[in-house]
Amino acid sequence: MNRRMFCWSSAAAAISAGSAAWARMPDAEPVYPTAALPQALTLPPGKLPLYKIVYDRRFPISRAFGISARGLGAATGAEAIDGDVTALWSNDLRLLWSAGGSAHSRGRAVAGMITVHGLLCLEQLAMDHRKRVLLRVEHGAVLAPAPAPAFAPKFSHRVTAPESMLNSLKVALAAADWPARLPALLASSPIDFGRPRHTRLFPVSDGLIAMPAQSLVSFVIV
Amino acid sequence: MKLPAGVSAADFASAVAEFETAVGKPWVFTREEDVDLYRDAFSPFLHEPEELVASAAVAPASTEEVQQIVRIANRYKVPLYPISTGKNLGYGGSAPAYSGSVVVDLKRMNRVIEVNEANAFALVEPGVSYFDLYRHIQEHKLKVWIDCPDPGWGSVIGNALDRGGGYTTANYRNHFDSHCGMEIVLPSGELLRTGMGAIPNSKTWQQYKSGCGPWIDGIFSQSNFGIVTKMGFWLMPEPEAYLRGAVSLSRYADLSPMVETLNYLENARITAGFPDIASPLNGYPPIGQVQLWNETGPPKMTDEHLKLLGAAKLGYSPELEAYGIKSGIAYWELWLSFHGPAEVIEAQWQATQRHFSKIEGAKFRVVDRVKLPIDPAKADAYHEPELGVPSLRAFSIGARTPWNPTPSKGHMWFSPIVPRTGEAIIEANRVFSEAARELDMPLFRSFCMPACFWERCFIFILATPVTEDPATNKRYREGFKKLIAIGGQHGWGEYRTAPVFQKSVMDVYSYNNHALQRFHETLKDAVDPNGIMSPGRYAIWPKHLREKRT
Repeated sequence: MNRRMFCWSSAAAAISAGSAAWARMPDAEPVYPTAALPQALTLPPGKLPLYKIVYDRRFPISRAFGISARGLGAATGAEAIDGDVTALWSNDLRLLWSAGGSAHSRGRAVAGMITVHGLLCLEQLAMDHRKRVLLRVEHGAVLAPAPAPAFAPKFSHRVTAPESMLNSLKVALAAADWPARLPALLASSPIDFGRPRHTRLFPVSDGLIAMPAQSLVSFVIV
Repeated sequence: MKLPAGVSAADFASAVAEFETAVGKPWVFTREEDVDLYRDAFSPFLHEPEELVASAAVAPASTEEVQQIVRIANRYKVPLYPISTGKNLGYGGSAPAYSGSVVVDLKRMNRVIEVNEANAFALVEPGVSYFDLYRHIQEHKLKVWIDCPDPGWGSVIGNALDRGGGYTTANYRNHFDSHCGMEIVLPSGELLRTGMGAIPNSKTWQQYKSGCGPWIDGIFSQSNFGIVTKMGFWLMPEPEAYLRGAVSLSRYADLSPMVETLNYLENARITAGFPDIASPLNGYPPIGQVQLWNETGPPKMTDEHLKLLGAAKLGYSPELEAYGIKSGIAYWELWLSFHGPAEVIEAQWQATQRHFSKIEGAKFRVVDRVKLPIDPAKADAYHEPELGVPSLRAFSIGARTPWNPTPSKGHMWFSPIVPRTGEAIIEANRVFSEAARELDMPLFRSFCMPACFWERCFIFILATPVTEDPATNKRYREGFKKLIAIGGQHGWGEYRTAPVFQKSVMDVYSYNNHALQRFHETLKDAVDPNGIMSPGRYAIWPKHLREKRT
């Protein structure tokens, strides 16, 4: 009931302590190099019956993800949200997941790139119907503190995925147009919860990628 | 799989087989990937072996199936841990209080049995969430409101049993207080109904709370004396209008008279909506504006303001106060809300202004004036729960932003009850800010305002983050326990807490050599001699585990 209290405290602390971090932050987050955006990709042979792709229109990287996802042939296409998952879940995903059948059925997949807390919310609600996050990539995870060389990148992509996907994810995430590459890759996730998943950090090199100020996560829920 | 201590693998297997017969094989979960779904997403034992985990889970669909499960558990001495929707994040989530317990997942019991518009009550099962009840009311076009927490994804029964609260009017905000009548499966498997429900074919089960004789409902909240399978709630008739007004005060010393005036108005029922206290000068927003702040950022402060804040002690300095007066930034701002016919709430707002005008310099403005019912699609222009609309928008808060650069992996709520006075607000700030500094815990670094979920008291609620580092989490857990003890030394106790802290919290309630705890244990031994029902919940241990837990 009191999530607002936590964030209230955080916001108040940032301001009242004369937070230099807040005071000096640029008004706009780094701009994603839109010139590098490809056209919507066609779907390679995939394994997921894809119901919907979700993206957060507030963030250029997520918008790039969403634009690329439109061509994937998801049953209900790509849907943009503004951070609030209430309507998406209440009017749509709740009905999809409720219709999933028996406890052990595997319904159609939902994939996307939204904020970490948005996914936390969807994940908890999906669990009510025994759905799970099959794959997640946290963009902008901060690497564990050191000692680290001065040139060590501050951000990374933290990937939790089946081992068979790690290498292709690593390659895709190293590319300049990684947000646009991800949707097709997510759509090709193997649906097999029996396979162990592994977590890896793929550092981001300065200058190559514009990392979001927000902590975003790409995911697949099945 | 973590077997319950003291239960042999053979007995556990037999119990599981009988659970499958009782509820159907698809609804008994023993595979690790299925049982993992019941881990606490905000566990303060993240990545540690001490994390509280279930051994299995079983999901009944009816009261009769719950009874069968309980009888089976008694035969094999298997501990159970009932959950409703399992969304109690920050207070333990869906993980059991005793590792190895079998979670009894009540989500399938999701019937809205009745919503009676004329008498404004509902009777629901434990798997009914606030969203479910709200949807039922909307679909049937009933003119009643729910009162829900924020987020609204939790169980109506679950939240009430853990004594959670909401945001509309005082008599509905206290969710346990607004209940009327319960049905419980006792640890013996027997079925009990309380209040007027103890009369067969009762006509007033959801209309008169206490029945006759001892009123026992309270012992089923925050406890382990049974599994609640039905619960009635009083609902608010849909109001005709809503008004939210703000009272602004410019001096630090106005805090106490502000609280005294609020207390009078609330106790006299001149205002009954959720009082929301802010300190704009200290950068502390009202709850109603937190969402806006997260989306657009807090109001920018001048360098001078930030410097004065940094130098303030307990949120005060004469220079800061002078700056606020010069700049027109209120020291305190109290948002009050009114629900009812327009002519009534306008009169209540007028009376409110008259009373607060006794404080020199008080200023007033209307924040919202809303004719009801509101179009649900437009509810997000407001703080939805104050209009009885459940929302998940709270989850857009807390992501990493320039003003919140290091969001956590979760949080644990530290939530002591403090007196309803201005002096107590200042004292709580002093005590806990000093403690946070000594313990090096990131609780808060500015002057914090309490919340008014309950009448007659404040709740001073702070979040302790859960991080990815086990060493840090361990340090925070130990610090949290010290905070509990420090609060107790000042006569402040928690109202609710996660299983990991329940013993520490209950140890504070030590009047007369822990008479309360001893009474709980006497009840426990009587109603649950095999100790199968949620062992350890709120520090109530069955006899066979008690010695090990002291």
